[in-house]
Amino acid sequence: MQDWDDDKLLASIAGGDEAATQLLVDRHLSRALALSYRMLRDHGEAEEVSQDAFLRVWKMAPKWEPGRAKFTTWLHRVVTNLCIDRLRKRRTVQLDEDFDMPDDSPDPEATLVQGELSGRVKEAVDKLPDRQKTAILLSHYQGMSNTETAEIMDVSIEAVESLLARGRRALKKTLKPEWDDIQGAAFTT
Amino acid sequence: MGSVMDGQDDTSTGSNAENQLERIQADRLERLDDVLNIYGAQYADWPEAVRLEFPRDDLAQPAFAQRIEEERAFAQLLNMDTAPSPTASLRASILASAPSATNAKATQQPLKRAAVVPKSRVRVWVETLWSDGANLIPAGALAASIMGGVILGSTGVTGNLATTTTDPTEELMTLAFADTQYSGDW
Repeated sequence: MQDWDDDKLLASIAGGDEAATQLLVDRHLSRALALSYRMLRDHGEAEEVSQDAFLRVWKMAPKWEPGRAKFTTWLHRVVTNLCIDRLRKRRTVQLDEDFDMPDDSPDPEATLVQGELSGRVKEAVDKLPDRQKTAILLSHYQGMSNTETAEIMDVSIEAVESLLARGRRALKKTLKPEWDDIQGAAFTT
Repeated sequence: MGSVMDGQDDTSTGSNAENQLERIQADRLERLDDVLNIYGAQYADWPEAVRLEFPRDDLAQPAFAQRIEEERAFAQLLNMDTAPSPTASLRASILASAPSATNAKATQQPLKRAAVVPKSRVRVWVETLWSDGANLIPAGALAASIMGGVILGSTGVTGNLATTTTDPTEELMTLAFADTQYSGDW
């Protein structure tokens, strides 16, 4: 069963096969959680999104048509949309309740835990405009191709390429000192 | 005099050619930067057309190789933004929400599920009163129907009962899911 593709696993899941269910979860949960965490930066919410996404998988399994779409792309799209919904709600609540705009500075506790450098990278990624950030998350962190990223984000490939180029340029500018440091370290070792 | 002029022409032509080469090289480096920003440093991830534009041999040139090394360092820097791994409890709760073999069968064959109809309140009430008299239920039902007929007859309710009969499948489904779906209405 280990070498079964996702389409085959989904067909078995629809029939209530527990081993197939476990295999699909083990294959995709880490990436679903990583994407939702990086989009939301809240571990609890990221877990809720992952659970919600898999509930949708169970509902969809009996209707899944093999070969029509790639399961990984479908799942990433579900996770991305669930996160976008939550981000929108967060913003609405903040504006409705006349809260201050979100503080862009990194959570000091998290920075301590994660290390200064990783905190700065996280901060730089979070400062990107939403669509640029999503494109970078899907392409760099989730390893999706530009075609898959375009499908997940429901934009053209050209738009994804433009988002990626602008996003990477902005990150390189923001993280220039850290980038220089890491290259210096690579040359001295 | 003419030969001196010719020499100057050679020099300027040579420097023009050098400038042109430098410009071409600068343009290629700029294009490589764009490619790296769009596709990253992994050559295998580049589309075929881009790989044709930048064959591996070209990328071995020091200026190109340096750009690619810088991009790899940048990717390494981005990877410092780590994400948590799934906890055992998250995995367990996701697995618990999955359809089990029994549930899956029931979903695919709703009539079989409907066959396990929860006991109606009336039946529970009858069984509570008549716990040892299950074989008397048909007799009780007959008596109840006679009584029902008498009551209907005496009150003059003479509607056509056939019009109130619902599709049996639908009825079974409603019964099967009544307790779970409409508990708030009860």
